[in-house]
Amino acid sequence: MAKHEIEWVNIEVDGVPLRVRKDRYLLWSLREAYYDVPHFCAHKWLDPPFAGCRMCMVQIETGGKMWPKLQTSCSTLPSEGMKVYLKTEPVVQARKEELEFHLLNHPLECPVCDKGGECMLQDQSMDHGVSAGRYIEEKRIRPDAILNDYMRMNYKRCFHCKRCVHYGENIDGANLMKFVKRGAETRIESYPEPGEAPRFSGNLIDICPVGAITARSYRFMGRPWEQELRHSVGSFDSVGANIWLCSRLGEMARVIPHDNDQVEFGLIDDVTRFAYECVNDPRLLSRATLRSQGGSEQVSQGRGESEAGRRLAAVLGEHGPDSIGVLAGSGLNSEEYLALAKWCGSVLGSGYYHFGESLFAGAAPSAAALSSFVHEHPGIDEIVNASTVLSLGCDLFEEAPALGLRVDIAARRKKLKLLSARSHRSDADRFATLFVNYGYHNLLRLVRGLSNALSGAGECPEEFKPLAEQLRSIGDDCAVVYGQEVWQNAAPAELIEALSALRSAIAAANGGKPVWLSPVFPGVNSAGALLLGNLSAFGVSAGSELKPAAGGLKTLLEAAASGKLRALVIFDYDILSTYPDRALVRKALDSVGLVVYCGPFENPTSEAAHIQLPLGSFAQREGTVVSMEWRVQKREAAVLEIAAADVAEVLNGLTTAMQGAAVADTMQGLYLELCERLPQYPREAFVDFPYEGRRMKPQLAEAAPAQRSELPAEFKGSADFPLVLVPKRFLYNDRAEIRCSPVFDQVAKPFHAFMNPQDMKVYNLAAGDQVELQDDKGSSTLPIQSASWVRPGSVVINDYCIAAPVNVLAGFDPVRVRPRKAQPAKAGEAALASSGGAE
Amino acid sequence: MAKGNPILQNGVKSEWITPVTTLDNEHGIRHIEDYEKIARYVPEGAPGGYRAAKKVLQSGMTADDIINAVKASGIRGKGGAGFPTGLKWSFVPKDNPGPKYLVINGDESEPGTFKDRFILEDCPHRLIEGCIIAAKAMGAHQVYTYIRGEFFDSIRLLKDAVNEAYAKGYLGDSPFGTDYPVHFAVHSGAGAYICGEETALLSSLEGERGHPKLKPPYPAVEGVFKKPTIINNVETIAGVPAVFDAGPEWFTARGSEKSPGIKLVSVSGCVRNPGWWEVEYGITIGELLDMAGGLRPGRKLKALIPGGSSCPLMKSDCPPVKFTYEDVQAAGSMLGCAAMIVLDDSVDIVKAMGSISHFYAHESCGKCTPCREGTRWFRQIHDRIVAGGGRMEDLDTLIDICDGIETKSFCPLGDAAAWPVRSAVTRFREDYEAHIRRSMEARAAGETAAVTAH
Ligand SMILES: Cc1cc2nc3c(=O)[nH]c(=O)nc-3n(C[C@H](O)[C@H](O)[C@H](O)COP(=O)(O)O)c2cc1C
Ligand code: SF4
Ligand code: SF4
Ligand code: FES
Repeated sequence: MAKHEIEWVNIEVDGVPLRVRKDRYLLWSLREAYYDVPHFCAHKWLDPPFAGCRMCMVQIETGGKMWPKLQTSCSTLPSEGMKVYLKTEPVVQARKEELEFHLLNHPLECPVCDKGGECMLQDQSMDHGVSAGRYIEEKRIRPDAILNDYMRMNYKRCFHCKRCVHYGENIDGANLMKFVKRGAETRIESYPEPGEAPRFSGNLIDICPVGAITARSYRFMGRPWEQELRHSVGSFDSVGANIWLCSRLGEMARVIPHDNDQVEFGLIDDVTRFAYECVNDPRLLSRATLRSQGGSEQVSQGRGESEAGRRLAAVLGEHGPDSIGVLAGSGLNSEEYLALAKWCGSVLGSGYYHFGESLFAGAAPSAAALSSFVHEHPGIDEIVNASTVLSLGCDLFEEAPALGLRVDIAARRKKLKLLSARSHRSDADRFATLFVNYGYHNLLRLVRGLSNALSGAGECPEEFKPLAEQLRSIGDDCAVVYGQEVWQNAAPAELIEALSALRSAIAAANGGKPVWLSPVFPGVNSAGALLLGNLSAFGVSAGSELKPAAGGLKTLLEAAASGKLRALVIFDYDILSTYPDRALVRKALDSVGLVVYCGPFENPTSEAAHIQLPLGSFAQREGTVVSMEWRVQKREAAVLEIAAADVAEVLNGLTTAMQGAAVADTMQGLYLELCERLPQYPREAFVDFPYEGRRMKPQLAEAAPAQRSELPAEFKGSADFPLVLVPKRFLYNDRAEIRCSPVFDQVAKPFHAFMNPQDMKVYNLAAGDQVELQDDKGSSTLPIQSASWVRPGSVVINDYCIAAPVNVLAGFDPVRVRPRKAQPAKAGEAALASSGGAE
Repeated sequence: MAKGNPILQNGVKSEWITPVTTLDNEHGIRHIEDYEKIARYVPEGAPGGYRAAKKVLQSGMTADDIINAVKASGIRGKGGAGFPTGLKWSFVPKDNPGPKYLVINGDESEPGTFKDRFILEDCPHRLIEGCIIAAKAMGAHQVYTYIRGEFFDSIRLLKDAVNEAYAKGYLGDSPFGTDYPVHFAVHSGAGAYICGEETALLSSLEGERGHPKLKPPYPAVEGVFKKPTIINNVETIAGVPAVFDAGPEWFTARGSEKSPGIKLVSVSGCVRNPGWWEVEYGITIGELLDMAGGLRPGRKLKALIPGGSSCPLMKSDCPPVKFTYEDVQAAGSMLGCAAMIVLDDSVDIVKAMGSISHFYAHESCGKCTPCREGTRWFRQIHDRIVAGGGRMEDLDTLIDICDGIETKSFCPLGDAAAWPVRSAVTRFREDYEAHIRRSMEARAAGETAAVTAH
């Protein structure tokens, strides 16, 4: 592609020739070539360079003439024939001088500082500093301060590199840190947004070169060199952000990003960073629970497994094959899905299994949708480097934070044109060239309308035409990203086909330029679940071991509700709280005689189980996961004291109890088997899996999308039920890892109903009021907050909130509600207010 | 104290640049009530009465014609750096389709200088007229003036003058009936020296923190609001109309080859009649001293700062030096913005430097490490020496600090802070040493006293 062509120039570094990128500041090219150039204020995220620390100075000669002043390499671009000197006397001298300035006010407390051992100032002092200071004046000191829920500021260690301020201004835009005053009196103060949960603030801990910004949960927890690091992947979204799980003395100590420039670029969200605390929490299950009429009993894992196995065997004996259903959430590793699929086939003889959340409104995936997932989708690299990104029905900040931030940065720098369409506004649109609000459940109308406008045939509502116009000039390429509002749609398959058609229409309107379609999946291994839950669709012959799935999630739940299934085995999936049709799940759980739940934490679904078995958490089970860009990466298990079972071990236990013996599967064995069965699955050494992962392309026949142009009618509030209910995926929700990590206790989580101030007035509601939302099925009561980002005529609520579950009301079909001010404080509501923690 | 208007009495009296009509106050002293009486508006047609601007706009001179005339006059920037003004204007990209801006730097904060303020108060119309011509030369339709925040009266008076000019049709959509709109906005700073530095000024004008910005891009290419911008000092622009009134030759006939024309000089410190004068370049420092009434009887010249507090100190042998950029530089200092500070032998150099270093430590913006930490450090050392805690090794430390700041700071403020300190420590080292020796003796005596008293 023309626009990505790189221009090179030849320079000389201390007499040695080097070819460097013309558009890249010297510092980065030099460092990439393993030259040690000290620097404090420059950082790969920050552009334009700040050039304030003056540590990176080099001597430069062009055209046979030495430049009169030393230059900061972080802000100097190379030119052909330029000679750069790093070791001459003036350079060495300058480094000494600048380092002395940096150290003037810095306390001598490396031995008690969290950053000790990974501090840039410490390193540079060892390399370039002098051993004794000659500063006898008074140092600048200030007491520490709390920055926000996660971080603490150690003012006296701050040496004013100002990276943190620039991060807030140019990267996450949250402006948490600001300069106050001037000169040597300058202070870095924090201005947290009250009532708002921080999203990307934790990156400040990494970007601060010294120990000034420290994590409250990691302070004084240990030194970097005593920690055991294991590579893993951010487990709460499908981006596949690379992280290190660091443990010390058998406990989780922290999570830090593991810079993968192709994926998250070192930028991770606060949930990914801090949710490790749940692994140390007593709420992480280690014992099994047996529940009966008479109450519940805690037993060992082995006892629990044999009890479960015994009862499953009884069901099997009585009702034969296809009497047991198996469900798994999207957080399992691919190997575990394979183990499950095999278990269903060979032990249970059941085709009633489903892996991952429902992506197709409970139905089995359509061939056209799978084809679109496989054939039309870009890598994260391609998305963030595209000329145009169209984000449809997807709040990237909440659903794929690391990707969202990278797109946001590129849009801020005008490197890409961001177009956004959603049923409500969000921070992720702040640099959008155009934002279109189509109102919830009207996405199909928008997509078809756009295709019609672009192809010039068929109807397009007036309000969507400007967006269609923008799509006529996409530049070099365009990535269409879609997410939650598609998965929650009543007819996702139809919608995905319409999206495919839109993709072709955009390409056609732009002379065949590349256009991609990228789904943002809800879970870390949704793609793996899709792959392994539908192996036959991907051309893997079922054989005797693998039975094809008997249909979608809805088929399975209906079979359970109707009494066809006699037992359900659920792996780490709070289906009761998250599946849109709560009544169906409830009925299914109530109808089968036996529910076995296996997961790391308790949740409403596990509480409904007869037998609850512990499972290792996301940090404890090793295996590979597939991200939204079909990147296969490995999650290693952190080095912890507590034992944890993975799915294969649990299945072993169950099978042994059922059949008296079992063939023990190891993760490595399962991985190899997976590669056997699915030749496109990247085959690497399992123990040494390349941390940056390998992208794959499953084999699948291409299916052309159906071309349809008729527009569905616009969905709006009605006279009786005036507000459209919008369930929204938030970064902060009631997932167990957030609930069970104490670090989040004080964070203001979005467990409110959000309504436009205009509507609040109409219904005479004030912020903080309890509001009852009613539809014809039921009602839900929760506190209300006014939010101008909500479209008038709709109400947004968190789609995963245990105290006020949205699926009491919402189904896959569009829901309208009537708001009513509720009478204050019933017991349930009080519980909600406290779990919300905001008010 | 000499009576009468200092301008009329001592200066060159060039009606082309400063109007002769400024003050008819008997004492030549400004009282706040006089401000209202100042005849700011000059009759049409007279020098300073928009004759030049009218000519330039109505005669259909092209931008190049104007720039060439200014180049021919040899006018150099009066804000401190002395950059040739015509050359600067020619850097604006001609083919840029978007708006361009002219920004006038009236932040005058350098200790010792007080010339722009008098232009703003006495003859603001000269500035406005100059702006119209400069705007036309660079293709700008909008002028911003950034005036030091403490200059309440200057800001008010300039605003009055701007209103007058709008009312007379000199500014607005069609000045002098031409189709070249020029609009004028007055903006005030908030009291930061660094906001006189051009990129910091632009940041501040945009509403950002007053931090200098990385160059390139230079303001002429990407300045305020990311549009091509020319920044000039108040005095520089106020001198432009004369180029079209009196002709470029009028300038080149005066001063030296490299420093043609005239300059406003502010003289302060230990002189009997401090004030400002309009002089031709090439006058000697001694003559300037005489204009300012000379030293007090019985006092000898100790040191002299020729161009504002940021210039290196000159020793008492400086009076014969000619007041041109090149001569002052050859003599080891800088002309800067021609703000002469005179120190006689009653002045303690260490204390004087202490107060200058306080200024720079206070005014450093804090962006870059050497200036932020270095200025604070040498302020602390000066404070300690003055308080009697000096040590001989402090002098080397001071020089080392200057080494660390000079040419290594992000913007010239760092250099400006280091030059006077370095020159003081090297050229007046004996003063420092004497100071330190005295306090060392006092300390030793104190210790002995303490021991014997025990
Ligand atoms: C620290 C610092 C302070 C400055 N303060 C002023 C000032 O107060 N007024 C001014 O006109 N120029 C000041 N300058 C110079 C400006 O940066 C700039 O060179 C000048 O406005 C250009 O105008 P000229 O070409 O007309 O001189 C300052 C420069 C520095 C580095
Ligand atoms: S807190 Fe850290 S990142 Fe911020 S200015 Fe200080 S040292 Fe730099
Ligand atoms: S030298 Fe550095 S700290 Fe000083 S004013 Fe300039 S940018 Fe700010
Ligand atoms: S890294 Fe270049 S100045 Fe700080």
